[in-house]
Amino acid sequence: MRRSTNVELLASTTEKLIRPFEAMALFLQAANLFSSAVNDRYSALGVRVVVVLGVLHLALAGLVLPHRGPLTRGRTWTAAWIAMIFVVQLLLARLLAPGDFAAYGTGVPMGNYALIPLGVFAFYPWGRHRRLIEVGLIVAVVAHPLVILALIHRWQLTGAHVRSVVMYAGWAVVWFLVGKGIAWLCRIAVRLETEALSASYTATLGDLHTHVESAIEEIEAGNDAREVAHRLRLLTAARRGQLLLRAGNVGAADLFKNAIRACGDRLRLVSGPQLGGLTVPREHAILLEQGLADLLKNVVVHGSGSAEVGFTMTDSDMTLDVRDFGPGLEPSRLDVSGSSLHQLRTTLRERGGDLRVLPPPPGGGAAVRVTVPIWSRR
Amino acid sequence: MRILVVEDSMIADMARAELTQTLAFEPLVISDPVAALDHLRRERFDAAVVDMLFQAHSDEFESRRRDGEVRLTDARLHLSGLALLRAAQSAGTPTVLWTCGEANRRLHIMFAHERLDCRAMCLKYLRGGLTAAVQAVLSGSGYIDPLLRMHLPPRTAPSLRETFFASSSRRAIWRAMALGIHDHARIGRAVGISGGTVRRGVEEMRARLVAFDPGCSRDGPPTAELVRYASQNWEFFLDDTVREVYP
Repeated sequence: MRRSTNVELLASTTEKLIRPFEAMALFLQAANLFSSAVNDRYSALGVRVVVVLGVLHLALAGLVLPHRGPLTRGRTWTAAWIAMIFVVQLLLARLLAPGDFAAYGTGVPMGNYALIPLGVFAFYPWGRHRRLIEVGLIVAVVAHPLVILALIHRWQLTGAHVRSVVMYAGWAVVWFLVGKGIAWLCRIAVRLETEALSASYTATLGDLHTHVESAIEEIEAGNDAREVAHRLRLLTAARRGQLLLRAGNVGAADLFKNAIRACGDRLRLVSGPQLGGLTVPREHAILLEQGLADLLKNVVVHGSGSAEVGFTMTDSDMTLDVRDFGPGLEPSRLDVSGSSLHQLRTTLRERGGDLRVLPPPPGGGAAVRVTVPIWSRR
Repeated sequence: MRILVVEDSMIADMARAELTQTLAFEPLVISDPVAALDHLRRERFDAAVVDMLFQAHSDEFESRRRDGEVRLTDARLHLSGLALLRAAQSAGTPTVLWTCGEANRRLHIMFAHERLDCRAMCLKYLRGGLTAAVQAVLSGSGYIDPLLRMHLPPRTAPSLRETFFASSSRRAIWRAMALGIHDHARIGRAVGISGGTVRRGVEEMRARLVAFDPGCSRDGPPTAELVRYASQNWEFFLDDTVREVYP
């Protein structure tokens, strides 16, 4: 089977969307049970059973919403959900007043209880045996009232029974098509997502080409090639940074490399951290990138251009240390409103982090420390 | 003096010019890694400069991977510079890893250092770095660019072997996930074990991954996090040399 990029994207988008739908389906099943307890004719015990079932479904919906539902938990849970649908309907048919099941030619009592999940099943990407599973589910949903009638009336069906089952089959097809409609919306969403991504890449590339061409023209016109190269390097680093920060987790070494390379030969790295395979969740990476850019710029402008950089990450926070070999840094400089370091400290403090000047290291220079709390995981 | 440069982009010309100018001899430049492997096996070189990923090979493999045409039992998986480093190591040829160090080379760089004993690494697009690295290996010493050194793990971090390659079934599960398979039963079928065994193993695999990379999530379903990591680093998990070293 050939799987294109869009098919993979579609599968992952559908998987993400299916979770709230699972909770919604269980919630609607609970509502259907409560409605049946009020509208259908049950014995006193039957009403209690139906209400208890409704409460259980409501609790399940509440559990599924923050965690995972049967479909996303795997085949065993999915099979259990499907089995539960048929068992509950059999039980309710047994609890109904004798002769009431599908007896009025208007459909099947509690019919929506099975039809709601059928809509979700139609939307679910089943994989290789999708068609077979979908046909099997429709047949099972449509046939089960017949089985119940056969058990109750031993195939002595009336015209009203047949009309009820046919009407129910019609609704089954409608719910299935609703599910397919949602799947269709997913495909549209994926196509738009792909087009937006593609347009964004085209724009980025076009922008880069424009800058490269104008840099060539500037050099040909006799402008300072070193200055043009510096501007181009800054631009490339900014674009690379944007691309890096698109990923959910960003390689820490990639962030550091990009920030250091953006400074070109104006910065000399005396020592840097060994980061190995460490990645940083995007929301923290954005802060880290900003901190690095501002502190390294400070080293280039005020701190002699040589830097020692250290970084550690624990369960609770990230710590970035930057030391330069310049004339030193007064802590009061962080209080100068409008300066980049002041702005950085404000941003960090808004997110529970901080920027502070450390005591002057042996050998002179300035040492500053950025801390960023790890406030949440995906 | 014979130096082999294996590089598939235009920057190969810069390498040739730099080495010719600074070391006063012209290197043999090969763009195709398969041809370069052949050269390394048949001829003797004083040093080899090796790129990590080769665009044409990676694109062709990625296209087959996306189309579901790659099998873990295929005769050859993804071909990278690791194959060249290994061939050079077998031939006793000192090597320089010459890379741009992008995110999808991160684990390759660590593997080259941890398993293939590569002690010379230099960054592309950095003037003078290649000469310094080649001179270092010719004199029997090492050279690792400070920026590339960041890719090496701190002493306290678990190794790649401990994290990903502790057992043959774990290795196979990582590879199956890198193929894009995310269902326990299908992973089990691809690997030759039961879906239940896969399900029981993923929590520990995630714990090892988090110890290796604390930036990975320890919340939520472990399989989703493992599949995300494997898919992001498919070039490494489906690397032919990595499979050769850790079958």
